[in-house]
Amino acid sequence: MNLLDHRPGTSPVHRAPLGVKYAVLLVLTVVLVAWRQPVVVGVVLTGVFGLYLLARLPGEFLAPWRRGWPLLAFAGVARFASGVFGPVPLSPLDALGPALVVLAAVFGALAAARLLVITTGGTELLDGLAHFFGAFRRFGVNPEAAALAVNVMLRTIPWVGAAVRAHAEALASRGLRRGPVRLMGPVLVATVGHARATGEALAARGLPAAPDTEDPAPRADYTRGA
Amino acid sequence: MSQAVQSAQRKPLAVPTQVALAGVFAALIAVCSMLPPIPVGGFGVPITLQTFAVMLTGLILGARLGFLSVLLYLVVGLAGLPVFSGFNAGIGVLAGPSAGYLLAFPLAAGLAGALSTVVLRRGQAAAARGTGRMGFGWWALVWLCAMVASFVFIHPMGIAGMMLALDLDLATALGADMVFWPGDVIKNVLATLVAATVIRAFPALALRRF
Repeated sequence: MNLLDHRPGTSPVHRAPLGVKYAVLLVLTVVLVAWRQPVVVGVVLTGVFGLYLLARLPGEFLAPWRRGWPLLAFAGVARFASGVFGPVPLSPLDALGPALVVLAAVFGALAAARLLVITTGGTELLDGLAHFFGAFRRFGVNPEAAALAVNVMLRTIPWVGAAVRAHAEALASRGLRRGPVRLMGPVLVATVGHARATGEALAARGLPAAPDTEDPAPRADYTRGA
Repeated sequence: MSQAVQSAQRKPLAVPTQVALAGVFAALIAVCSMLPPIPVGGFGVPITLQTFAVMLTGLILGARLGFLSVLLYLVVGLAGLPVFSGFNAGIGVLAGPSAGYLLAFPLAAGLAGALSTVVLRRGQAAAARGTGRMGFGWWALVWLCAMVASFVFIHPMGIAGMMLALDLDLATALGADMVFWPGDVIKNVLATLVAATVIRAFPALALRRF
Protein backbone atom coordinates (compact mmCIF):
# COMPACT_ATOMS: atom_id res chain seq x y z
CA MET A 1 0.00 0.00 0.00
CA ASN A 2 3.02 2.28 -0.30
CA LEU A 3 1.48 3.63 -3.50
CA LEU A 4 -0.93 5.80 -1.54
CA ASP A 5 0.20 9.10 -0.19
CA HIS A 6 -2.05 9.22 2.80
CA ARG A 7 -1.91 12.38 4.96
CA PRO A 8 -3.28 11.29 8.32
CA GLY A 9 -5.16 13.82 10.43
CA THR A 10 -8.06 14.36 12.79
CA SER A 11 -9.99 17.09 10.93
CA PRO A 12 -13.72 16.75 10.14
CA VAL A 13 -12.77 15.85 6.56
CA HIS A 14 -10.60 12.98 7.79
CA ARG A 15 -13.28 11.75 10.19
CA ALA A 16 -16.23 11.94 7.77
CA PRO A 17 -17.72 8.55 6.84
CA LEU A 18 -16.35 7.22 3.56
CA GLY A 19 -19.85 7.00 2.05
CA VAL A 20 -20.38 10.72 2.66
CA LYS A 21 -17.01 11.54 1.09
CA TYR A 22 -17.83 9.54 -2.05
CA ALA A 23 -21.30 11.11 -2.25
CA VAL A 24 -19.90 14.66 -2.00
CA LEU A 25 -17.18 13.85 -4.53
CA LEU A 26 -19.70 12.37 -6.95
CA VAL A 27 -21.98 15.42 -6.67
CA LEU A 28 -19.06 17.83 -7.18
CA THR A 29 -17.85 15.87 -10.22
CA VAL A 30 -21.30 15.73 -11.81
CA VAL A 31 -21.79 19.47 -11.25
CA LEU A 32 -18.39 20.22 -12.75
CA VAL A 33 -19.13 18.13 -15.86
CA ALA A 34 -22.76 19.07 -16.38
CA TRP A 35 -22.84 22.74 -15.39
CA ARG A 36 -20.07 24.65 -17.12
CA GLN A 37 -20.99 28.18 -15.99
CA PRO A 38 -17.94 30.20 -14.89
CA VAL A 39 -19.76 31.15 -11.66
CA VAL A 40 -20.68 27.55 -10.83
CA VAL A 41 -17.17 26.26 -11.56
CA GLY A 42 -15.74 29.13 -9.47
CA VAL A 43 -18.01 28.37 -6.52
CA VAL A 44 -17.25 24.62 -6.65
CA LEU A 45 -13.52 25.30 -6.91
CA THR A 46 -13.71 27.63 -3.89
CA GLY A 47 -15.68 24.95 -2.03
CA VAL A 48 -13.02 22.34 -2.80
CA PHE A 49 -10.31 24.71 -1.54
CA GLY A 50 -12.45 25.27 1.57
CA LEU A 51 -12.47 21.50 2.17
CA TYR A 52 -8.67 21.45 1.83
CA LEU A 53 -8.50 24.24 4.45
CA LEU A 54 -10.90 22.29 6.67
CA ALA A 55 -8.65 19.23 6.32
CA ARG A 56 -5.69 21.51 7.24
CA LEU A 57 -3.94 20.53 4.00
CA PRO A 58 -4.05 23.77 1.95
CA GLY A 59 -0.56 23.06 0.58
CA GLU A 60 -1.87 19.95 -1.19
CA PHE A 61 -4.48 21.84 -3.21
CA LEU A 62 -2.21 22.44 -6.22
CA ALA A 63 -0.76 18.90 -6.27
CA PRO A 64 -2.99 17.75 -9.16
CA TRP A 65 -1.54 20.59 -11.24
CA ARG A 66 2.06 19.73 -10.34
CA ARG A 67 1.56 16.05 -11.16
CA GLY A 68 -0.98 16.18 -13.94
CA TRP A 69 -0.34 19.43 -15.77
CA PRO A 70 0.10 17.82 -19.22
CA LEU A 71 -3.44 16.41 -19.03
CA LEU A 72 -4.86 19.73 -17.79
CA ALA A 73 -2.92 21.67 -20.41
CA PHE A 74 -4.27 19.32 -23.08
CA ALA A 75 -7.83 19.94 -21.82
CA GLY A 76 -7.35 23.70 -22.02
CA VAL A 77 -5.65 23.68 -25.41
CA ALA A 78 -8.26 21.33 -26.90
CA ARG A 79 -11.14 23.54 -25.74
CA PHE A 80 -9.31 26.63 -27.03
CA ALA A 81 -8.82 25.01 -30.44
CA SER A 82 -12.47 23.95 -30.47
CA GLY A 83 -13.46 27.56 -29.77
CA VAL A 84 -11.27 29.08 -32.46
CA PHE A 85 -11.75 26.49 -35.23
CA GLY A 86 -15.13 25.09 -34.20
CA PRO A 87 -18.52 25.42 -35.89
CA VAL A 88 -18.97 28.89 -34.37
CA PRO A 89 -15.53 30.46 -34.79
CA LEU A 90 -14.61 32.76 -31.94
CA SER A 91 -11.75 35.22 -31.77
CA PRO A 92 -8.79 33.80 -29.80
CA LEU A 93 -9.58 36.21 -26.96
CA ASP A 94 -13.20 35.00 -26.69
CA ALA A 95 -12.12 31.35 -26.87
CA LEU A 96 -9.78 31.84 -23.92
CA GLY A 97 -12.64 32.12 -21.43
CA PRO A 98 -14.33 28.72 -22.07
CA ALA A 99 -10.88 27.10 -22.23
CA LEU A 100 -10.01 28.40 -18.76
CA VAL A 101 -13.40 27.28 -17.40
CA VAL A 102 -12.86 23.75 -18.73
CA LEU A 103 -9.34 23.69 -17.33
CA ALA A 104 -10.61 24.86 -13.92
CA ALA A 105 -13.42 22.29 -13.93
CA VAL A 106 -11.10 19.37 -14.75
CA PHE A 107 -8.63 20.60 -12.14
CA GLY A 108 -11.42 20.95 -9.54
CA ALA A 109 -12.61 17.37 -10.09
CA LEU A 110 -9.05 16.00 -9.82
CA ALA A 111 -8.36 18.07 -6.69
CA ALA A 112 -11.60 16.92 -5.02
CA ALA A 113 -10.85 13.26 -5.84
CA ARG A 114 -7.33 13.61 -4.50
CA LEU A 115 -8.58 15.10 -1.23
CA LEU A 116 -10.65 11.96 -0.65
CA VAL A 117 -7.62 9.76 -1.36
CA ILE A 118 -5.18 11.62 0.89
CA THR A 119 -7.59 11.90 3.83
CA THR A 120 -8.59 8.22 3.77
CA GLY A 121 -6.39 5.33 4.84
CA GLY A 122 -5.73 2.51 2.39
CA THR A 123 -7.45 -0.06 4.60
CA GLU A 124 -10.56 2.11 4.84
CA LEU A 125 -10.64 2.50 1.03
CA LEU A 126 -10.40 -1.27 0.60
CA ASP A 127 -13.10 -1.91 3.20
CA GLY A 128 -15.33 0.59 1.42
CA LEU A 129 -14.68 -1.18 -1.89
CA ALA A 130 -15.63 -4.56 -0.37
CA HIS A 131 -18.80 -2.97 0.99
CA PHE A 132 -19.51 -1.53 -2.48
CA PHE A 133 -19.19 -4.99 -4.08
CA GLY A 134 -21.75 -6.31 -1.57
CA ALA A 135 -24.39 -4.03 -3.07
CA PHE A 136 -24.09 -5.95 -6.36
CA ARG A 137 -24.67 -9.39 -4.88
CA ARG A 138 -28.17 -9.56 -6.35
CA PHE A 139 -26.73 -8.97 -9.83
CA GLY A 140 -24.63 -12.12 -9.57
CA VAL A 141 -21.45 -10.51 -8.23
CA ASN A 142 -19.62 -12.61 -5.67
CA PRO A 143 -18.46 -9.87 -3.23
CA GLU A 144 -15.93 -12.07 -1.44
CA ALA A 145 -14.33 -13.12 -4.71
CA ALA A 146 -14.27 -9.50 -5.97
CA ALA A 147 -12.66 -8.21 -2.74
CA LEU A 148 -10.12 -11.02 -2.92
CA ALA A 149 -9.35 -10.13 -6.55
CA VAL A 150 -8.65 -6.52 -5.42
CA ASN A 151 -6.21 -7.86 -2.82
CA VAL A 152 -4.53 -10.12 -5.38
CA MET A 153 -4.22 -7.15 -7.74
CA LEU A 154 -2.64 -4.85 -5.15
CA ARG A 155 -0.21 -7.53 -4.00
CA THR A 156 0.76 -8.38 -7.58
CA ILE A 157 1.54 -4.79 -8.64
CA PRO A 158 4.99 -4.86 -6.93
CA TRP A 159 5.58 -8.35 -8.32
CA VAL A 160 4.88 -7.28 -11.93
CA GLY A 161 6.99 -4.14 -11.40
CA ALA A 162 9.89 -6.30 -10.20
CA ALA A 163 9.44 -8.71 -13.13
CA VAL A 164 9.56 -5.81 -15.63
CA ARG A 165 12.71 -4.45 -13.97
CA ALA A 166 14.39 -7.88 -13.86
CA HIS A 167 13.72 -8.55 -17.57
CA ALA A 168 14.83 -5.03 -18.53
CA GLU A 169 18.11 -5.65 -16.70
CA ALA A 170 18.45 -9.06 -18.34
CA LEU A 171 18.08 -7.43 -21.77
CA ALA A 172 20.56 -4.66 -20.88
CA SER A 173 23.15 -7.17 -19.65
CA ARG A 174 22.95 -8.98 -22.99
CA GLY A 175 23.38 -5.66 -24.78
CA LEU A 176 19.91 -5.79 -26.36
CA ARG A 177 17.66 -2.83 -26.85
CA ARG A 178 14.58 -2.66 -24.61
CA GLY A 179 11.86 -3.13 -27.25
CA PRO A 180 8.29 -3.64 -26.02
CA VAL A 181 7.88 -7.19 -27.37
CA ARG A 182 11.33 -8.33 -26.23
CA LEU A 183 10.56 -6.92 -22.77
CA MET A 184 6.88 -7.74 -22.32
CA GLY A 185 6.87 -11.23 -23.93
CA PRO A 186 8.92 -12.87 -21.16
CA VAL A 187 7.20 -10.69 -18.54
CA LEU A 188 3.79 -11.95 -19.70
CA VAL A 189 4.91 -15.59 -19.72
CA ALA A 190 6.11 -15.11 -16.12
CA THR A 191 2.87 -13.28 -15.25
CA VAL A 192 0.64 -16.11 -16.51
CA GLY A 193 2.76 -18.55 -14.52
CA HIS A 194 2.41 -16.34 -11.45
CA ALA A 195 -1.37 -16.16 -11.90
CA ARG A 196 -1.56 -19.96 -12.05
CA ALA A 197 0.52 -20.31 -8.89
CA THR A 198 -1.64 -17.69 -7.15
CA GLY A 199 -4.82 -19.52 -8.16
CA GLU A 200 -3.44 -22.78 -6.76
CA ALA A 201 -2.37 -21.06 -3.54
CA LEU A 202 -5.83 -19.53 -3.10
CA ALA A 203 -7.54 -22.86 -3.77
CA ALA A 204 -5.25 -24.58 -1.26
CA ARG A 205 -6.35 -22.10 1.39
CA GLY A 206 -10.05 -22.49 0.55
CA LEU A 207 -10.28 -18.89 -0.71
CA PRO A 208 -12.44 -17.05 -1.52
CA ALA A 209 -14.69 -18.11 1.37
CA ALA A 210 -18.10 -19.38 0.27
CA PRO A 211 -20.75 -16.64 0.33
CA ASP A 212 -23.52 -16.75 2.96
CA THR A 213 -26.32 -17.09 0.43
CA GLU A 214 -26.66 -19.94 -2.02
CA ASP A 215 -25.79 -18.75 -5.48
CA PRO A 216 -27.71 -20.53 -8.23
CA ALA A 217 -25.26 -19.36 -10.93
CA PRO A 218 -22.94 -22.09 -12.26
CA ARG A 219 -20.11 -19.57 -11.85
CA ALA A 220 -19.71 -20.29 -8.12
CA ASP A 221 -18.13 -23.70 -8.36
CA TYR A 222 -16.52 -24.19 -4.97
CA THR A 223 -16.40 -27.95 -5.00
CA ARG A 224 -13.73 -27.93 -7.70
CA GLY A 225 -11.67 -25.11 -6.30
CA ALA A 226 -11.62 -25.96 -2.61
CA MET B 1 -19.42 -17.96 -31.34
CA SER B 2 -22.19 -20.02 -29.74
CA GLN B 3 -19.93 -23.01 -29.86
CA ALA B 4 -17.26 -21.14 -27.89
CA VAL B 5 -19.73 -20.10 -25.21
CA GLN B 6 -21.10 -23.62 -24.88
CA SER B 7 -17.73 -25.24 -24.39
CA ALA B 8 -16.76 -22.55 -21.86
CA GLN B 9 -19.91 -23.33 -19.87
CA ARG B 10 -19.38 -27.03 -20.07
CA LYS B 11 -16.35 -26.82 -17.79
CA PRO B 12 -16.54 -23.69 -15.61
CA LEU B 13 -13.29 -22.37 -14.19
CA ALA B 14 -12.71 -22.75 -10.47
CA VAL B 15 -13.36 -19.48 -8.63
CA PRO B 16 -9.82 -19.17 -7.16
CA THR B 17 -8.35 -19.46 -10.67
CA GLN B 18 -10.67 -16.74 -11.95
CA VAL B 19 -9.86 -14.48 -9.01
CA ALA B 20 -6.13 -14.97 -9.50
CA LEU B 21 -6.20 -14.37 -13.27
CA ALA B 22 -8.43 -11.28 -13.01
CA GLY B 23 -6.36 -9.82 -10.16
CA VAL B 24 -2.97 -10.51 -11.73
CA PHE B 25 -3.93 -9.06 -15.12
CA ALA B 26 -5.49 -6.00 -13.47
CA ALA B 27 -2.11 -5.54 -11.73
CA LEU B 28 -0.40 -5.86 -15.12
CA ILE B 29 -2.57 -3.07 -16.53
CA ALA B 30 -1.81 -0.92 -13.48
CA VAL B 31 1.95 -1.41 -13.91
CA CYS B 32 1.77 -0.77 -17.66
CA SER B 33 -0.17 2.47 -16.96
CA MET B 34 2.57 3.67 -14.62
CA LEU B 35 5.60 2.56 -16.67
CA PRO B 36 7.44 5.33 -18.49
CA PRO B 37 6.87 5.19 -22.28
CA ILE B 38 9.00 2.58 -24.08
CA PRO B 39 10.65 3.37 -27.44
CA VAL B 40 9.37 1.16 -30.27
CA GLY B 41 12.10 -0.46 -32.38
CA GLY B 42 12.85 1.14 -35.74
CA PHE B 43 10.80 4.28 -35.15
CA GLY B 44 12.09 5.24 -31.71
CA VAL B 45 8.69 6.78 -30.94
CA PRO B 46 7.95 6.24 -27.24
CA ILE B 47 4.55 4.68 -26.53
CA THR B 48 2.69 4.15 -23.26
CA LEU B 49 1.60 0.62 -22.59
CA GLN B 50 -1.85 1.11 -21.00
CA THR B 51 -4.06 0.27 -23.99
CA PHE B 52 -1.53 -2.38 -24.99
CA ALA B 53 -2.09 -4.10 -21.63
CA VAL B 54 -5.88 -3.74 -21.90
CA MET B 55 -5.96 -5.41 -25.34
CA LEU B 56 -3.49 -8.07 -24.25
CA THR B 57 -5.73 -8.91 -21.28
CA GLY B 58 -8.65 -9.41 -23.66
CA LEU B 59 -6.61 -11.49 -26.12
CA ILE B 60 -5.19 -13.77 -23.41
CA LEU B 61 -8.10 -14.11 -20.96
CA GLY B 62 -11.00 -14.14 -23.42
CA ALA B 63 -14.27 -12.24 -23.28
CA ARG B 64 -15.63 -12.81 -19.79
CA LEU B 65 -12.46 -12.87 -17.68
CA GLY B 66 -10.86 -10.16 -19.81
CA PHE B 67 -13.84 -7.88 -19.29
CA LEU B 68 -13.92 -8.61 -15.54
CA SER B 69 -10.19 -8.07 -15.14
CA VAL B 70 -10.21 -4.66 -16.85
CA LEU B 71 -13.39 -3.75 -14.94
CA LEU B 72 -11.56 -4.60 -11.72
CA TYR B 73 -8.74 -2.25 -12.70
CA LEU B 74 -11.24 0.51 -13.50
CA VAL B 75 -13.23 0.11 -10.26
CA VAL B 76 -10.07 0.06 -8.12
CA GLY B 77 -8.87 3.23 -9.85
CA LEU B 78 -12.21 5.00 -9.47
CA ALA B 79 -12.31 4.02 -5.79
CA GLY B 80 -9.20 6.14 -5.33
CA LEU B 81 -6.22 3.79 -5.52
CA PRO B 82 -3.53 5.32 -7.73
CA VAL B 83 -3.52 2.89 -10.66
CA PHE B 84 -4.35 5.22 -13.55
CA SER B 85 -1.66 6.81 -15.70
CA GLY B 86 -0.15 10.02 -14.38
CA PHE B 87 -0.89 8.84 -10.82
CA ASN B 88 -4.37 10.31 -11.06
CA ALA B 89 -6.95 8.51 -8.99
CA GLY B 90 -10.58 8.56 -8.07
CA ILE B 91 -13.84 9.63 -9.58
CA GLY B 92 -12.25 12.96 -10.61
CA VAL B 93 -10.85 11.41 -13.79
CA LEU B 94 -14.43 11.07 -15.06
CA ALA B 95 -14.47 14.87 -15.49
CA GLY B 96 -11.21 14.74 -17.48
CA PRO B 97 -10.34 14.08 -21.12
CA SER B 98 -9.57 10.38 -20.54
CA ALA B 99 -12.99 9.51 -19.06
CA GLY B 100 -14.46 7.96 -22.22
CA TYR B 101 -11.31 5.95 -22.91
CA LEU B 102 -11.22 4.51 -19.38
CA LEU B 103 -14.90 3.52 -19.46
CA ALA B 104 -14.40 1.90 -22.89
CA PHE B 105 -11.49 -0.30 -21.75
CA PRO B 106 -13.50 -3.19 -20.18
CA LEU B 107 -15.87 -3.34 -23.17
CA ALA B 108 -12.97 -3.29 -25.63
CA ALA B 109 -11.13 -6.06 -23.77
CA GLY B 110 -14.35 -8.10 -23.73
CA LEU B 111 -14.95 -7.68 -27.46
CA ALA B 112 -11.32 -8.38 -28.35
CA GLY B 113 -11.51 -11.47 -26.15
CA ALA B 114 -14.75 -12.73 -27.71
CA LEU B 115 -13.54 -12.26 -31.29
CA SER B 116 -10.06 -13.62 -30.68
CA THR B 117 -11.44 -16.69 -28.91
CA VAL B 118 -13.20 -17.65 -32.16
CA VAL B 119 -10.10 -16.95 -34.25
CA LEU B 120 -7.71 -18.75 -31.90
CA ARG B 121 -9.94 -21.87 -31.70
CA ARG B 122 -10.14 -22.12 -35.48
CA GLY B 123 -6.45 -21.32 -35.83
CA GLN B 124 -5.47 -23.96 -33.31
CA ALA B 125 -7.67 -26.54 -35.05
CA ALA B 126 -6.14 -25.67 -38.43
CA ALA B 127 -2.64 -25.82 -36.94
CA ALA B 128 -3.37 -29.27 -35.47
CA ARG B 129 -4.35 -30.50 -38.96
CA GLY B 130 -1.38 -28.87 -40.67
CA THR B 131 2.02 -27.75 -39.56
CA GLY B 132 1.26 -27.68 -35.84
CA ARG B 133 1.84 -23.93 -35.55
CA MET B 134 -0.56 -21.10 -36.26
CA GLY B 135 0.59 -19.21 -39.33
CA PHE B 136 0.96 -15.50 -39.93
CA GLY B 137 -2.57 -15.21 -41.33
CA TRP B 138 -4.19 -16.35 -38.10
CA TRP B 139 -2.18 -13.85 -36.07
CA ALA B 140 -3.14 -11.12 -38.51
CA LEU B 141 -6.77 -12.01 -37.78
CA VAL B 142 -6.08 -11.79 -34.04
CA TRP B 143 -4.62 -8.32 -34.64
CA LEU B 144 -7.78 -7.45 -36.56
CA CYS B 145 -9.88 -8.51 -33.55
CA ALA B 146 -7.98 -6.02 -31.40
CA MET B 147 -8.38 -3.29 -34.05
CA VAL B 148 -12.14 -3.92 -34.27
CA ALA B 149 -12.42 -3.62 -30.48
CA SER B 150 -10.44 -0.35 -30.59
CA PHE B 151 -12.64 1.20 -33.23
CA VAL B 152 -15.96 -0.12 -31.89
CA PHE B 153 -15.45 1.00 -28.30
CA ILE B 154 -12.26 2.89 -27.42
CA HIS B 155 -12.27 5.61 -30.08
CA PRO B 156 -16.01 6.39 -30.24
CA MET B 157 -16.31 6.45 -26.45
CA GLY B 158 -13.08 8.43 -26.12
CA ILE B 159 -14.41 11.03 -28.57
CA ALA B 160 -17.77 11.18 -26.80
CA GLY B 161 -15.98 11.56 -23.46
CA MET B 162 -13.90 14.47 -24.72
CA MET B 163 -16.96 16.15 -26.24
CA LEU B 164 -18.79 15.89 -22.90
CA ALA B 165 -15.98 16.54 -20.43
CA LEU B 166 -14.14 19.21 -22.38
CA ASP B 167 -17.15 20.66 -24.19
CA LEU B 168 -15.50 20.10 -27.59
CA ASP B 169 -17.14 20.00 -31.02
CA LEU B 170 -17.01 16.70 -32.93
CA ALA B 171 -14.30 17.79 -35.38
CA THR B 172 -11.85 18.87 -32.68
CA ALA B 173 -12.52 15.77 -30.57
CA LEU B 174 -12.04 13.57 -33.64
CA GLY B 175 -8.82 15.39 -34.43
CA ALA B 176 -7.53 14.91 -30.89
CA ASP B 177 -8.49 11.23 -31.04
CA MET B 178 -6.83 10.66 -34.43
CA VAL B 179 -3.49 11.55 -32.85
CA PHE B 180 -3.71 8.14 -31.13
CA TRP B 181 -4.51 6.11 -34.26
CA PRO B 182 -0.96 5.29 -35.43
CA GLY B 183 0.07 4.43 -31.88
CA ASP B 184 -3.02 2.28 -31.57
CA VAL B 185 -2.15 0.25 -34.67
CA ILE B 186 1.37 -0.29 -33.30
CA LYS B 187 0.13 -1.18 -29.82
CA ASN B 188 -2.29 -3.75 -31.21
CA VAL B 189 0.54 -5.28 -33.27
CA LEU B 190 2.65 -5.45 -30.11
CA ALA B 191 -0.23 -6.93 -28.10
CA THR B 192 -0.73 -9.60 -30.79
CA LEU B 193 3.00 -10.41 -30.91
CA VAL B 194 3.17 -10.74 -27.11
CA ALA B 195 -0.05 -12.79 -27.07
CA ALA B 196 1.56 -15.08 -29.67
CA THR B 197 4.63 -15.48 -27.42
CA VAL B 198 2.46 -16.33 -24.42
CA ILE B 199 0.26 -18.77 -26.36
CA ARG B 200 3.36 -20.50 -27.72
CA ALA B 201 4.48 -20.96 -24.10
CA PHE B 202 1.00 -22.04 -22.88
CA PRO B 203 -0.84 -23.44 -25.95
CA ALA B 204 -3.94 -24.30 -23.86
CA LEU B 205 -4.55 -20.56 -23.42
CA ALA B 206 -5.71 -20.43 -27.04
CA LEU B 207 -8.62 -22.65 -26.00
CA ARG B 208 -9.14 -20.53 -22.86
CA ARG B 209 -7.92 -23.33 -20.63
CA PHE B 210 -5.96 -21.69 -17.86
